[in-house]
Amino acid sequence: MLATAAIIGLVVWFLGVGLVLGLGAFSEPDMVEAKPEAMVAKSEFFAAENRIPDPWHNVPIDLILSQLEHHIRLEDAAAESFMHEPSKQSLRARTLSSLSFN
Amino acid sequence: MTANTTAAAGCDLLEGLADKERDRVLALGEKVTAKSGAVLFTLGEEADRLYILEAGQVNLALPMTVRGTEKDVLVEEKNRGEMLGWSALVPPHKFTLTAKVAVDAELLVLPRGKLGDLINNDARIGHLLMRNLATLVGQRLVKTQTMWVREIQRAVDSRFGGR
Repeated sequence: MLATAAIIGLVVWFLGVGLVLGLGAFSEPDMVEAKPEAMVAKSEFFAAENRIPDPWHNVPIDLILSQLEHHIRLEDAAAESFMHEPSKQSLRARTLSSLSFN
Repeated sequence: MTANTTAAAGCDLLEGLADKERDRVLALGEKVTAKSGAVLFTLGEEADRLYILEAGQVNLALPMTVRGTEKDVLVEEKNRGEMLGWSALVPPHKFTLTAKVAVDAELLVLPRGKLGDLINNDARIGHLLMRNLATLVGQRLVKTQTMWVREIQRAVDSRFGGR
């Protein structure tokens, strides 16, 4: 009686283990397939979260052109300065142009 | 010689010419006035004339696209006593910029044909004019290279990290 109960217990245990392992085997591919989607979703989520707002987005074109002309005048002056006294420092000298800062 | 032609006489293109030689060059020109906003020449147009600015200001511009709209963007400003339109002296004789009057201007317009004849017939004047032109074009080249390298440096700093 005791031996029969032990055998039944073992059979149930093996079935249980097999069932758990079997489920794992079936569920594993699903998880593998799900991974890239999860990564993409996560990547997009963070990209959206970290997206830097474009400060020029709502600026009128005329104002952008005005900034561009200001930038070119300053760069022209910087280039003139380099031509008068050529050096690595004068070549790389910064201007106050708002378009120079990245 | 009037005050205005004195401005033209001081133009870098005429550097080194004797007074009589300078007068011969200036005598080829015709004086014109142009109101602010007037276009003297456009990009790609046949360069059949050269200008010396006697008064006012002219902006040289190139087209750029900003948010899908094409706009002429300032590249260089020309002031009293400066020359513009040197493409008239250099093949393929096409203007490479657009020139627009920024401040009411008085200009001396020198036709390419007459100027070319003088250059061909008077070796000294021809030599001095072309030497001065080479100097001006060389300066423009160095300035453009400098501005280009500065922009590339900014692009490199922005892309790969820098200062």
